[in-house]
Amino acid sequence: MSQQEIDQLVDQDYKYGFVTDIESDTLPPGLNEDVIREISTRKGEPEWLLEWRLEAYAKWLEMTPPEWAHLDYPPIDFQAISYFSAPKKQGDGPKSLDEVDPALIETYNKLGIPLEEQKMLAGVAVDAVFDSVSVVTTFKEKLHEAGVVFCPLSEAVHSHPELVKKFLGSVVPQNDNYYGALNSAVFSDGSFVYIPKGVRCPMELSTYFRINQQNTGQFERTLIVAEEGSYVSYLEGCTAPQRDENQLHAAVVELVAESDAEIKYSTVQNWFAGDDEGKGGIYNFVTKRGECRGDRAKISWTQLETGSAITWKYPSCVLKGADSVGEFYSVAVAGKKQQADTGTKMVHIGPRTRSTIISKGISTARGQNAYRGLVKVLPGAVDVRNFTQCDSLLIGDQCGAHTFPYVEAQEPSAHLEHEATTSKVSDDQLFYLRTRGMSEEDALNMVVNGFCKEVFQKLPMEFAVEAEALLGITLEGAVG
Amino acid sequence: MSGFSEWLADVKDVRAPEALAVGLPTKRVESWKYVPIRGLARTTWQPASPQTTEQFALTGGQFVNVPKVDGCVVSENTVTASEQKRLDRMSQAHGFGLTQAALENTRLVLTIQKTASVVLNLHHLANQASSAGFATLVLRVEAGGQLTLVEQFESTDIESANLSSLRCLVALSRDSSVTHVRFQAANATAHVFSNLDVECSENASYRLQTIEFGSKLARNDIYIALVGREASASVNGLAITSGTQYHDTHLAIDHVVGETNSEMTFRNMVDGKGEATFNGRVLICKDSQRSATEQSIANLLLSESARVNPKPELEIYADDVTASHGCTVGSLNKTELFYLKSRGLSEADARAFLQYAFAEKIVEEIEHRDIRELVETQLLGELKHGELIVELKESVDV
Amino acid sequence: MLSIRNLHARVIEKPVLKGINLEIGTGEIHAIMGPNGSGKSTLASVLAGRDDYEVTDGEVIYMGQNLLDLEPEERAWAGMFLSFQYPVEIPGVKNIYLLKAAVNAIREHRGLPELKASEFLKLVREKLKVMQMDEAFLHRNVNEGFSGGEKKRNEILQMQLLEPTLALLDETDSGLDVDALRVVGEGINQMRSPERSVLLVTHYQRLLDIVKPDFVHVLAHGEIKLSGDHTLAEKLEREGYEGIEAA
Ligand SMILES: Nc1ncnc2c1ncn2[C@@H]1O[C@H](COP(=O)(O)OP(=O)(O)O)[C@@H](O)[C@H]1O
Ligand SMILES: [Mg+2]
Repeated sequence: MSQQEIDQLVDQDYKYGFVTDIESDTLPPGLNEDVIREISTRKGEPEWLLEWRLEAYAKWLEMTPPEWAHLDYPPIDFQAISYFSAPKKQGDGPKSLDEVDPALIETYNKLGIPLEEQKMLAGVAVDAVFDSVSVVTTFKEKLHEAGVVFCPLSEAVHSHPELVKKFLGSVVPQNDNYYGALNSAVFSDGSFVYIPKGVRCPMELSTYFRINQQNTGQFERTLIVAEEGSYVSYLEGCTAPQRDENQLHAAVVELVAESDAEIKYSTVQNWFAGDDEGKGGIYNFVTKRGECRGDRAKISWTQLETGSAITWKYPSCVLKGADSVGEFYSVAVAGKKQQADTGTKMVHIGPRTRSTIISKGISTARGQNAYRGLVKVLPGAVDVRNFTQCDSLLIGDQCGAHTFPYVEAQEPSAHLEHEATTSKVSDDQLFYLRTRGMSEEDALNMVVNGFCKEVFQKLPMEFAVEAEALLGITLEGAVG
Repeated sequence: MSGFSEWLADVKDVRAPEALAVGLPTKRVESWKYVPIRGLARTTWQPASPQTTEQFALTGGQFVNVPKVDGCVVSENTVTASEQKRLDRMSQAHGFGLTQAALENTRLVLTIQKTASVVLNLHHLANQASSAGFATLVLRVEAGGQLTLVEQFESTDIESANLSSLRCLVALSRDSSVTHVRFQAANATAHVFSNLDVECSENASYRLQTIEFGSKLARNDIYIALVGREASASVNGLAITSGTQYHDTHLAIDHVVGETNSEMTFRNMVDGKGEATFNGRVLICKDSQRSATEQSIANLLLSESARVNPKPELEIYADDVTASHGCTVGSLNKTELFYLKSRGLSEADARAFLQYAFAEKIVEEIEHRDIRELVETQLLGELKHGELIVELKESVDV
Repeated sequence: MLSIRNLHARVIEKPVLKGINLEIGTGEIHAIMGPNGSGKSTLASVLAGRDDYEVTDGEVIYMGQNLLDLEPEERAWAGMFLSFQYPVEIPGVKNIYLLKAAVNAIREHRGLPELKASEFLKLVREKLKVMQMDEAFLHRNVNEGFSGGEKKRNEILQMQLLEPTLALLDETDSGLDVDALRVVGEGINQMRSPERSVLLVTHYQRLLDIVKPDFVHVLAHGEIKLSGDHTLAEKLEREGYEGIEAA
């Protein structure tokens, strides 16, 4: 491929880059205790939660940003960011879809996420988070019948305070890491999911996150609790408008799986990636962690990361329960001047715990893609198994692919295997497909899709198609 | 005050104040994360003094009996600007580097002349209790030269901590080759530090075989830069760690230009309360097209309290390359054990066989016959129930 | 010599052997045939003591001893030999080390003196000739990089050296070309003796043409569905397993 061709191909539009013209209530930029009090007041939070936020803030002030990642960006000015923005609306928020601002509905339609229940993808309940607040949650009734709670976290604080109090911060403590601490202090909204004992959630749950306001950070916080023997599959999607300056997204996701419970958490992350010169785009600093607390619990992370200027994200599993299972399936694409440092941590504490890590990194244009992972086996975690495979694909000669797998084994019965390869798209494969009549671009798409297949197969069916299409768009023009 | 503070306060070296200020590396430094450094801090270190010997040796931080052989010249004791740069990089590379530089006793510069073929046998003698020696060896291998450098460590019965540190710069000119064999079997109280910095020009090849058996704590920092086309590096390593030993190898290879090759194979076998760390990083720079690298790390855990921390890293900025690494951690393979037992071998013999096999994959690659046999003997001595294999080797090997 | 009674075994919770009854007399050759996955290798492995398989019921008496109580090596000392369907590769261990260690371990338990290196080498060379194997095989690592056929020859070579009382040969004929099959078949025939019994697991008539079995059994779904003499094998070759599986 020639460089020129590559450039041409990489050069493509971000189709979610529009801005919604909507009246917002936005706090002025800046961060201090008063801002935190204000966020808490606006959300009408109970006193204990405000205290919790202030505690986190105090801890955050003592911490320093992590520097170990394979990322390069100027220091973030945390005082230049606005920590709260909400679409203006009357009263307490929409009771039904009719009360939701039509411009918002239009936004979600543009994103391809119809909120009207009758038009919805069959069997998927959606929570939509716009800037700092959740605007609508669909299928509430049906879920309620099954005993499933699926609502904005800010609502759960009032409707299920005892659950929120019990689980919030129990997986990712306030001072876990720099961005996690920041989130704990200023988190805006996110989803809360509670699946009672023995319940199989009757439909896929899904949250769409969108940052709209300028200079606004998004700090959502998601908490999913699966009680004994329950099952839930949850998917999040993210987009943002195209803006010149960088926007910060620092989310926290906590998962709790009790005995025999299973949580499947999928992400299709397509935040604005910035332009070809690296101008603009989302800084995506996310802490995601799940705990298999009970025996035979299972947590599975699947992610397709195509957006963001910077991705710093390590969805992890703490495998405490005996025979519990952790999985991580990831496709990360870094094109333009994107930088991704992503991977997972599998911490084996319980006996016979098993984990699987499949990571596929694709680098194009001037993208830098790093896999960083830790497999840790604590003493006493007997007969642990881990299999890790990290493959990197390079398209073009300006990009980079990096692999940093950490292993800490403290148990002789552990059996851990790690394999990694880095290669470019094989000219032979492309040539073969082209002699069969395929365009160069289609050929590349096919090869890359094949490369990612193992991961896509893990996505809920409805989204696997979406993921392939998204990957196709991301790669548009990457051939040469 | 303990560690090196008093000594550092005493020396005149310009780097001493900085070394003193930096102190010993802590666990917060990523590359020292697993190193049990406290033992070092507990001793008040003094300069070691050289002992008498007939061999070419490093003792008390001094080189003695430098051999006079054809093609090998003792050069003036000064380094070139680029060598100094590499030494400085070594000092800065990690927390202990400054101390090593500031406390350096001697420096030996040897030139292997054009197309000469030289074999050097360097013996590391144990330093006295609570004493340490720091030395630097600079090897310049001229075009087409061939050097075999064999380092061996003498083990003596010293009951308290001692330390030896060798920083070694190797520059390979075009078409030259170096085979470097290190056999570290120092006594159980020794702290052994080895910093190796190798630069390979066009079509030069550097081959390192490093075997760690001994010492209380061993830290190897190996850096290899492939700066000329068709340059290649291969590193084979074995660490056998038991008791309360700690072995640590940090290996980095940079493919600075294209059409270069590297290969690393490392095996850790850990028993008792031993702990082994291996960090292997390969960097393929932008435009270093048509380069290839392969890494394989295998870790065998033999006891409940054994620990390993392997980390193979790849950093790749060029697309037309082949890079792969594999890493495994586990105990002895059950199917293999069953196969051997079904042939009548006792459990203990079968285990010894497989441990031997694990290590032998590295040992059999040592071309230098005397060293290979020495390593094998020692290896078999270390194995529980190694006698059967000793007997077999004696009876059926030709 | 060997008496298997109501043997049940499972692998990872899945029952594979569901009540095997089989008597093997001294000097007899028994062939076990059966479709893929019917449990033939499981039976051979259970008899050799592989612990991936859990015996859930039944007993096995081998020369008056309760076989299932013995460790794999104790079974080998007692004269049992398993030729693996998939011989294990052991990188780093020379073939000759294994051969000599095994021969002497078993001799020791038979009360025989250890073979001296020269005696051993003489013996091995003799057997290599029978198996038409090159001496270079001795100095290669156990099965590492051997072709399928070479591995099977190596198994029979081991059997020749270890002189078992009961040999379990699991698909020792599969993956062999016509010439290799003859060599392996002759290798087995050469071991025939009134004191030695053989249990042959195979799919094909062609090995049984060379090594004539006294009895043929058909294993399907973990049970012996049918037993007969060597004509049964010929019938199976013509008609396949279908009729039997239905029965
Ligand atoms: N180690 C194992 N793990 C899982 N399943 C196994 C294992 N060994 C055997 N099985 C299963 O047990 C059954 C019998 O296998 P096997 O004894 O190998 O059959 P055969 O040798 O007759 O072809 C098959 O269904 C096979 O899949
Ligand atoms: Mg079979």
